[in-house]
Amino acid sequence: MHSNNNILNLRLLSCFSILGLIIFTFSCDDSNYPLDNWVDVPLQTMQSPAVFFNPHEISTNQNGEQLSVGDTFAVNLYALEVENVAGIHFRVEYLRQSLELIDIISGELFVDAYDTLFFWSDSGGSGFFDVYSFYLATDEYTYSNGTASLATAIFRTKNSVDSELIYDRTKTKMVSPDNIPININTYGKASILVD
Amino acid sequence: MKCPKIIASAALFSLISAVDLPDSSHFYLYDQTTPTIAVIDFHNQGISSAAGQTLSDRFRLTLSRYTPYSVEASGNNNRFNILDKKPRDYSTCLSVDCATNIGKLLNVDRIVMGVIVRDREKFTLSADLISVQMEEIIRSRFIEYVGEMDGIHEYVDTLVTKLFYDELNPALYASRFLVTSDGLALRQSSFPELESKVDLELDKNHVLWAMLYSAVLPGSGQVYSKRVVIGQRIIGGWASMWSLMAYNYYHYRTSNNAADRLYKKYDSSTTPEDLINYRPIINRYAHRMDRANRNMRIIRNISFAYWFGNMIHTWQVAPRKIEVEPSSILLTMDPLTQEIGFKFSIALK
Repeated sequence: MHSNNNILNLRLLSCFSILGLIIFTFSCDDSNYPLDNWVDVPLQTMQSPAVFFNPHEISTNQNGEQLSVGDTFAVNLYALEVENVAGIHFRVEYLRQSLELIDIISGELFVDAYDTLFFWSDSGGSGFFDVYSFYLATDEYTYSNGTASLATAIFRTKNSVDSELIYDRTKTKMVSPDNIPININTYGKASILVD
Repeated sequence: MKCPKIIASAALFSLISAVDLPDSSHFYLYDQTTPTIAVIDFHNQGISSAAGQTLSDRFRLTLSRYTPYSVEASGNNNRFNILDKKPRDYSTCLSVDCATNIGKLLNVDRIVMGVIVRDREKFTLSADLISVQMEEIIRSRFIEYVGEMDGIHEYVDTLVTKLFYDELNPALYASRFLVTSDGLALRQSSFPELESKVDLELDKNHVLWAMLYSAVLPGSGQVYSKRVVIGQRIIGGWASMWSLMAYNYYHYRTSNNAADRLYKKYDSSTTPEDLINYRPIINRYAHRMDRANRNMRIIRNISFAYWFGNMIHTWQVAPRKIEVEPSSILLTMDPLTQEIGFKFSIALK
């Protein structure tokens, strides 16, 4: 009888120990949200205000296929977390032997303005193009803020040589409504990978 | 257990000790025969019948240990057999006639009937010592006690000392009682030994059930063991902890759901504006999740310690089967006949 009680107590103790361990080990997972979106990764390294290209790596055409000779692609010229900007001048250098600039269209940074003064010019044989855009003030607003595209450039590949799009740091600038230059801390670049 | 009538009820040691005791009627110790006494289950008001039963048993045990009486009807078998299978009637006996009738049935010299009344945290314990032969109350005493149920046992002992103050066994008196200005008081150091004997006579393993209850819901084992106040407090503490756990889990879960939804958008987006917007919100949700999870871990660890301590406490307070009185041999003397003899007490099971 005594030994039966001991066995019972032993089993009881085991059950309670297991229950205790279950309580002790009961846990939820910690958060696991790696911010590794391929578009976002270079943005996280930039110090604002900045200008960059989106996407920063172009290897597909507009149909989503592998970029090859003769294909067209679009790349956005972006301003990152800018404040109080009313005018911009971007100069972008590209490899003229590999790329043909087809068109540039206005972006969304000044979309809430009364109107946007936008024009661009290709340098011809020098391998760069200039984009100018100005915020035409409304009664309420004279400038724009935030992260938005300034323009979208459309290219066609001429050959299979890989190349880059680079902002000219001396010519690229943004200004406030009082024509005060806004310091740009980071300049992004884009890689074009042609098959 | 009855003692032989030819053997005196005091030990030689008590005789030697009695030399130093005051020579007064308060220390009337010996009789030609060992008087017999029965204790009717105390009438209960405001406490459970099980608790009343426990306290009645406590009274009997203390009485048997500290007075020369041979206590009858202490135990379920005697009680139920003698009382014609009507223990309820027995326990509600409140009149002298009823008590003396039971005393005659039991063939005892004296009988004790008592009442335990609980009014919130105030307990009133009263007891009457009745002479079965004379059919009258010899003495009545009562005690009031304010506190938890857990502490009432000591007052039951005190009630015994008050009711039988002139009949305490000096063999135990010298080492277990103090003479105070208020009369006799039990030494605290004597309680652990006494309490180890005062356990319910049980027909099932209440320890197991108390432990099971406590394992499922800490505190419920204590309530099961009639430690209602401490049990309720333990349950309250447990509920508070798990309310905090639930609160944190709610934050964890809502943040997790929101973060999951947003992260899907973030993962598939190629628009920098959206990515820049999503990123701090995801971080905020993740931070909230981690904080809630950290809190849950802390609560979990505390809960484990709480649960473990509760299990130990349950083990300590759970009712156990009564221990058998150990065998003993006492050298005794009858003061009237000046005869010295031995008193044998043998545990039969």
